[in-house]
Order: sequence, then structure tokens, then C-alpha cells
Amino acid sequence: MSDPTQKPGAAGSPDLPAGAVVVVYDGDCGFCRRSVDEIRRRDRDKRMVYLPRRTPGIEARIPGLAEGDFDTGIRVVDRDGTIHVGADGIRHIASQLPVWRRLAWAYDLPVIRPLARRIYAWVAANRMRISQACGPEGACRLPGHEGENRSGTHPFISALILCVVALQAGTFAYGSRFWPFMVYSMYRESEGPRPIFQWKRRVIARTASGENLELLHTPEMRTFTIFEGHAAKGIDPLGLNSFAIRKLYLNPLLDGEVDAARRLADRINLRRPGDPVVEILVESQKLSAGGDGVVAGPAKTQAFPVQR
Amino acid sequence: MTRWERAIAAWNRIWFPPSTGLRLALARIVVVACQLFIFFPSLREQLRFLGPGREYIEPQALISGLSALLPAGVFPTAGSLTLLFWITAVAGALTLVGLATRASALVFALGNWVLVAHQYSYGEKHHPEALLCLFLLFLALSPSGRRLSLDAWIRRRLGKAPDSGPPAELSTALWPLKLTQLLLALAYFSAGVCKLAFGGLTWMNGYTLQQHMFADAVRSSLPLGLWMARQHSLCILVSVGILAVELLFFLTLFVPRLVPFLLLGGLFLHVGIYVTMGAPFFQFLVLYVAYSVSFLPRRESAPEASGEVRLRSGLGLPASP
Repeated sequence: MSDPTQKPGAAGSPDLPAGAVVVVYDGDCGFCRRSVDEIRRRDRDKRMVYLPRRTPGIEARIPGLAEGDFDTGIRVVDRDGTIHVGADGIRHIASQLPVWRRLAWAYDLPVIRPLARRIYAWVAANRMRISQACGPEGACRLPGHEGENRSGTHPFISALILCVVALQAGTFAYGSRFWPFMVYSMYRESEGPRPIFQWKRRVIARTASGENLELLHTPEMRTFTIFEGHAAKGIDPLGLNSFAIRKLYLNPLLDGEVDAARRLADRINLRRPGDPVVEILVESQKLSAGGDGVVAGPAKTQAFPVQR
Repeated sequence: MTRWERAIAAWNRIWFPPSTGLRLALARIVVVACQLFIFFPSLREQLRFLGPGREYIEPQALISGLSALLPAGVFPTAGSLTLLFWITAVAGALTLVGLATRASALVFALGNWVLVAHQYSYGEKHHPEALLCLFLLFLALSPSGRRLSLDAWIRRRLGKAPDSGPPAELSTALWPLKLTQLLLALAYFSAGVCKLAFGGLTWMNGYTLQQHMFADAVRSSLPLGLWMARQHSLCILVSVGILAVELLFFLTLFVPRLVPFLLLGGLFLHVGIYVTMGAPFFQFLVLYVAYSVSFLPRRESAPEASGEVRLRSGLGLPASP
């Protein structure tokens, strides 16, 4: 990119409104026209004047325009006649616009300016290709601008579509760690011919006073929850879902890891002080599918005293 | 025309055809109403996890990010979750009636994302909300409030939109529906492929479904599931049906005539899973609205009719309304 500022200019000549910033753009480029339309729409205070490069007599009014290659980008002629080119010009435009002027400082951060200049240089060099790719009359539409009966490319939305599809399709590679992009892999294992049965289990924490606390909590499916927007009464003894209880405590207990009973009791005692848990009971009942119906085996209870 | 330009033109034809926004507006109303009144995260469930000893078992990425940004004394607390709950609910009501639709839809989407991700950070994670939450975000990024909304009414009152005559067409009003169709197809395909990849063809031997169904039916005490888990032949047939729906659902993207059949298959699949295994996947059924709005009668005019012919070969939906 060439020298981003050129002096002197002549923005204060009689043909231009006094005190206006002048934006000179490539009127032959549909993408540039569309971008300037966007800027004009946001320039509610009419602080800038917009002129295509081929405006007759423009070089007489702004002599500095004749210098340099116009392919390097947009020219923004400041009130004092300084000419800002390309990405620097865009930064100057931003400083004139409501809302955007509060963000313009970001351009001066390390890395941002050289990066913006490089990106701008690429866009400027390829603006005709971009315009052609943007549909009829090269009229690209920028995000957030609707209301016209015209089709066109939407780079932001297109990028979003590609990202969403890639994240969803890529779940096989990276698993389902990033909700809401998940692997839909429920019930995926095969089973051979074997007796059909399932253990039904209850996990109960018995306190020193003899109270039994039922621990396996399965959330109910409720509708119209918006109308119950209030806090639950009291504190849930565990504050965990059933999956977590099985994974952290129940399965280790059934595998013989008795220390899991102490960890479980500690968690409950922390949330429910005053009546400590002294024993964890796991009640198991085997239910089998038979020809005549479901056969329930005898319920067995295993007691796991909390050892200190 | 270069190959690159042809590819961009094809991309635009598929994702950005002209539409008046009526289909998107209808989808907005149906989906937001369902999310607000049926699937809205329960504040009671959110608050269950708080209290002494609270710890994330498997924090979701969104919650990890929030926790890094906000001090532990700010989020998650009963106060912050309650505030978020009500802000999200109000934003949902505004999205439903279409007032400041873009902003309210964005708040509604993000609020739901945080609430659901928070609930799923305590060791239990499920699928049903995922695609619906994505669709809520799409609503925020599209002109979903351009029709059937207070915004549209206000625009007309202020003279910013014509009172009569055909509504202007937009090219950004169909992509959320098309992307939702694609995500639904991907989700079903993912489920089907996982079964074949992990279980192989023996997944359809009947025994597999019997075991899975019996386990879930016992857990949720479902008599129909307990009965069906004992019907081996029926389970073979249902297994084949499940895989057929899951693996073939993507055909809805290319063969519009198959849409009613595959949607019906999906309906049976989800209702069947619910009554026999107790797993509610009704959010998926609500998202079928992305297909069903395409059955709306179309305005008749020559340019649109020719546009539809082209679009039929792409992802699902015709051009107008």
C-alpha cells in the first residue's frame, strides 16, 4: 500500500461544502458503491460528502487525488486537506460515524493496523472480482441491510452457515464437548441374544436421626416452567443429576469402593449440616422380561456405613 | 463465468433465494412459543445445583468461558440465574410478538444457551435442546421480525413500509429454515451412522432394541415399553424402521416429495421413543416447522414460479412467500 496520507489537498474549495469530509471511491466497482451506500446510511449527521473517482473536475477540486495509484483504495479527504488512503481512510470514516467512532481507536492497537492494511489491500486489488461474484450489477449486500428485492452474497451469513455445518459435521472428530454441537450416538451398542433384564436401583442416605434421603433425582418433564419462576424450597441434598450420582458414587460403590460412601456423605453433610449422614443404602431389584410379563426378583439392600 | 463465480452463484441460489419473510415469521412464532411455554429451562432445576459444595462435573465450553470472565460471586448464583431467567423470558415474549425482534431474539437465544449449558455442566448432558437453541440464534441473525410482528406494524404506522401491495422480498429470509433442515438431517444421519459404526448391522437383530428399551422402560416405569421390549419380531421391524428414518432423512433436502413420508417417520420415531423409553425429543418435532412452512400456498407470479423450479433442486424450500 502506498503512503496512507497525502498532503496537501483542497477540500475547502468553494465547490465542496465547508467543513465536510470528502470520500472519493471507485464508482465503477459495485462492491465499492454498495459499501459507500452502507456508510452513507450510517452517516446520519451528514458529515461526509461522497464522490465517485470519475466525477468531472474532481482533481481540480482535490489536487492530491492525482497522486498515487487509485487501485490502492478509497480516499478520504479530511477537513484540513489531509488525504487518508485505504484502511486508514476507513478508520477515518469510522471516526465520523455515530457508534463506530467509539470503536475507531481499536485501529491503532498493535497488530491491528498492519493487519487491516493487508486485508484492505487484498480486497482493493480484488474488488472487481468480488463485485462480479456478488450478483447482478455487482451489488453486494452487507449484513444487516435488508428490504430490497435483490439477491446477493452475504459473506457473514455464508461464513456462519459454513461454521455451523462444520461444527456439527465435525462432532465425530472432536466428540461432543462443545454443546450445542453434539454427536447423536445414543443406544449405539449392539446386544446379542441374552436374557432381558435391568437392575432397578434406589440410593438412600440415612442420617443420624434415622431420616432417609432419596438421592437419585430424575428431572421431570414440565411445561410452562416460565410461570413457576421461583426458587426451590430448601436445598437439594446433593445438587447433582442422576447421571453424575451414578458415575461419581453409585457405580464405585457397586464396584466395592467403600470410600465412595464417605465422599457421598461428606457432600450431603456440607449442604445439609446438623443431621449427619451415617450410612448409604443401595437397594437393587432385578427385573426380567419373561414370556408372561415382567418378573421382579427379590429386592436386596446393601448398606455402606460411612467410615471416618 | 469462472468456476469460482459459478460456485458462488449456486451457493446464493441455494441459501439466499428471494422470500417475503412470511415463512420465517411463522416459524419464529411457532418455535419461540414452544420454547417459551413448553421447553423453557426450569429455574427450579437451575437452582437445585447451587449451594455449598457446588462444583461443575463437566462444564460446557460456554460456561467455562463465562466462569473465566465473571467472578464466582457473580455467576452462577441464585440471583444471577434468576435475573438471567427473567431477562430471557421477557426477551422470549418480545420475540414472540416481534418487538425489537433482532435484539430480543438475540437475548432470548443467548439466555437459553447459558441456562441449558449451565444445567448440562453438572454431569448430565442431553441432545433435545441443541438444534432448537441454534435455530433461536438464527432468528436473531435474520429478518424474522419483518412479517407478523409489532415491528412490521410500527414500520407501517410510521410510513416506513407500504400499507398495501405485495411485500418486498428479501434474500436473507430463508437460510435459517434451510440450515435447520440441514442440521436436522445431519443429526439423524449422525445417529444412524453411530449405530452402524459401533453396533454394526447386528444393531437390527431385535435383541439390541429389546435391551435398550427394557432398561429405559424400567427406569421410567413405562408399561408400553415393558410390553414392547418382550416382542422380538416387532423390535426387529422397529429397528429397521429407526435406521431407515435416520439414514434416509437427508433425502428431505433433495427430494421434496419424500418430505411428508420422512417427517411422518420422524414423528413416529420420537413419539415412539417417548412412550416406550421416556426420552422426550419433542424439540425436534417443533423444528419440523422448517419443513412444514414450505407447504404454504405460494403467490403466483411468473418470476417466482421460475425461481421455484430452480430452487426445488436445491435445499428444500421454494422461494416465496
